[in-house]
Amino acid sequence: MKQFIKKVFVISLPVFFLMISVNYFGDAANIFNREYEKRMAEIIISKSNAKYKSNYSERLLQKELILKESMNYDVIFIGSSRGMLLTSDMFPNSTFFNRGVSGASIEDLIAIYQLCKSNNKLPKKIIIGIDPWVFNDNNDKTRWKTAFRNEVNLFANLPSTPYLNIVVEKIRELFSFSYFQNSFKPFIKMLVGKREYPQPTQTIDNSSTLKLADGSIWYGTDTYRLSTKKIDEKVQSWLAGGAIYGLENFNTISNKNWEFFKLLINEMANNDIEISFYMEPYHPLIYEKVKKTHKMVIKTEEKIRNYAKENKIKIIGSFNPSKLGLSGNSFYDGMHCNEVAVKQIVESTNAQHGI
Amino acid sequence: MLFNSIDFAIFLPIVFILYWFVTNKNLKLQNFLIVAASYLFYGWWDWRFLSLILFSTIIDYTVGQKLRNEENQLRRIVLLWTSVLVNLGFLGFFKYYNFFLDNLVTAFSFFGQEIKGNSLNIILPVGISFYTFQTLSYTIDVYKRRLEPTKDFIAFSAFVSFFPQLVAGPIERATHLLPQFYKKRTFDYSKAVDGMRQILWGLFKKIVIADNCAEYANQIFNNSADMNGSTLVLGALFFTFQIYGDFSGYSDIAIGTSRLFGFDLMRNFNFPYFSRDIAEFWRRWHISLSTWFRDYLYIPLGGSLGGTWMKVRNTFIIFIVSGFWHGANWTFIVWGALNAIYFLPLLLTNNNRNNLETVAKGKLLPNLKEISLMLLTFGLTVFAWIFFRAENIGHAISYITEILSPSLFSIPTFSGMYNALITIILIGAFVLTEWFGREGQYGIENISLKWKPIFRYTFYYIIVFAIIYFGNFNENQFIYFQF
Repeated sequence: MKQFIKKVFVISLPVFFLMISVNYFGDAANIFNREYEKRMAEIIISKSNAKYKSNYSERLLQKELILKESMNYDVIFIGSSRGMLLTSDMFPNSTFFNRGVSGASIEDLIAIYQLCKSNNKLPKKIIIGIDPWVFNDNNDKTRWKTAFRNEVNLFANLPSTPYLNIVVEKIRELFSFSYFQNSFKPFIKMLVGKREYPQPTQTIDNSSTLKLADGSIWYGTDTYRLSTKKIDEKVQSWLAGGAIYGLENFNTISNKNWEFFKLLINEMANNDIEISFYMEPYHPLIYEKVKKTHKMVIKTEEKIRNYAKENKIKIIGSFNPSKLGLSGNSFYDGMHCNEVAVKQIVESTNAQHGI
Repeated sequence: MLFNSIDFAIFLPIVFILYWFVTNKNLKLQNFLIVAASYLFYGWWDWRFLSLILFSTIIDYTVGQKLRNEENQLRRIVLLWTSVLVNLGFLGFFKYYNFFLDNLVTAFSFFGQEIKGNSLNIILPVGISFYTFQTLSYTIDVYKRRLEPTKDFIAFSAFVSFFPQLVAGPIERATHLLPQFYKKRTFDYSKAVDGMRQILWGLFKKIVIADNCAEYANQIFNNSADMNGSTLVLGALFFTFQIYGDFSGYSDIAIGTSRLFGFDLMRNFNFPYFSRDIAEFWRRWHISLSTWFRDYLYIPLGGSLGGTWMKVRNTFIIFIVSGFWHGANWTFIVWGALNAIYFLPLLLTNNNRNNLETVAKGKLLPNLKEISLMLLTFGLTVFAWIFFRAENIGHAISYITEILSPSLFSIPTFSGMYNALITIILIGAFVLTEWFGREGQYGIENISLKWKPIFRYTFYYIIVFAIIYFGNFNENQFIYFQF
């Protein structure tokens, strides 16, 4: 018996050792080591573009940036990757920074605002990216927890997360199988001395992925200029995958999230911040499906428009591509416009408002 | 509690230590620990349904006690039917009530009569079909005087609720498992090591093969209207490996876990996809259920001893009932009937027992004839699985119609094809391993045993690495829980 237990223990040891090593040193999401985000923040603060290849925590980067940057911007964007192509040249008379994070939820919007406020970095104007999933209780968005717990709690007057909880969560990640799967390749790269960190660059080429100095993202024209056929194929295959991103079981507009949203807008207004809503359209094929099976998206837009009207908030864009005169080749995938289309959306709204 | 969960990874060592170090000197206490652990294991899912297991246990124990001294045949029959009706009554209510009601309403409306039937929002208790059949085997065997009724209520409770096989089998016979609770168990090192090996292989089948295949099978079946024929063929193949990896993986973990506690459970799978005909397939697939139906339904109905008509009737009955056992849906009934149609020609031409031995026994590779027969049987099985997996008969028919269209010759398209390719490579490695291990009780039982320790442990570590690196850790339920 004892021999059996000893054997199981001894055989298991290398497995645990490998798992902890891979998760800690491979660290795909930089949970244990923030070096990647720190280096990227330094590059952006120095007004260079950051060329990168691996995953990093966009939320931790925003935290680093807000804590370390010295200037206050006139205009910032907060929202998801659907607004990450908003660039400073679209706001020529102001300083602009894009604080978008992928898959942003209501908690992300709150947290980034709260971070700016706590660090005296509130801008004069905030463009809020409106994504339908922000109002879906079943959107399954928990990425904000990796960086923003305390900011969300501070905004909602909740007690801050105890340090012990954060440590326990980190320990859990050390033993996480799915984290192992993500961290294995970075671990091997580290072992062979090929771990890549972001590099500063002033040039914008067609095939690199860049985090630009204004916080926006650049995937390269190779990505943005796919043929209509290729984009359609990409979208069709995406549609075949089932539900549309973030819209699973979206049956009703979440009361809780709507109340949080209103609270955030009131808080901004009380701080004399001018607000605009940015609604990026879906690809026409996706929007066709939205009309049939995800009607809450249309209801969300109606509700947001009514709210904006009541509160005199400017709206840029629409979820409906045909309203903006966009066709399939204005997109690089099912839910992201290319940079030409984004510019067109912003400029046409500015023209409407005589800007 | 799922075998592929962290909860079970904590639960198992605790029960193991209590079992061998704390309660090992007292058989009753050890059996009581099994009952307590089993109720905790089951209650982890939904404690309310523990009352069903307890009620079935009390009924069957009491019926067993009454049958002990009852000589009057009529009273014996009444006692037997009390147990059968209570157990099948629970099963019928929880599993089939809405099905019968809906079909009754449809039948009446077909003849122009409108009747109202209120469907109930019933949760199906996990594993009810498994433990119901297990307890029924006890009462039937006691009734037939094949088994002495037990006086030990704790041992009987442990037999009914034994956690490794409670929710998805193997469906044990009382004659095989119950006596194991009467004897003192001693720790057997080689049995425990073998159990660990079988658990490892079961986890590989479930987490790497079944759960990865499930991603694509679900995607393709759930969106089959938008898919071309070749993609649908792939979907059916993914489901074929999903259901095998899922169910036989569960059985391997159950058998391996039982061995850690000194118990032997019956074999449930014997490499069914290497079968050369459907009769062989059914001797190798879900053996505990097939033999249950054979012993308690097919043989009492006359088996294959009567004339042609009786053979046809009994074959259809056993396959259709077996299909219906899986779920309250016409798809399962058609799946059962389809297998009966596959099986009948073999039975009627006396060819149903042609392939009793393992294919290509003692050889490295099969011959051309064996390959052709295996492929044909596999193809028929895959076709039948389409009905098993489809939402309804209409779905299955449209699925098959699209497969038979010219789109069969187009390139498969679905989301995540690169990862699917990795899954296909893993399936290839899995099939090869099972082929080389097909003469053992499970895939890796005999592989590597004669190797030097360094190679043997490297082999095990490769499997562990494959589980961790390629596994799907969404803690997916086992398919057979829903049955």
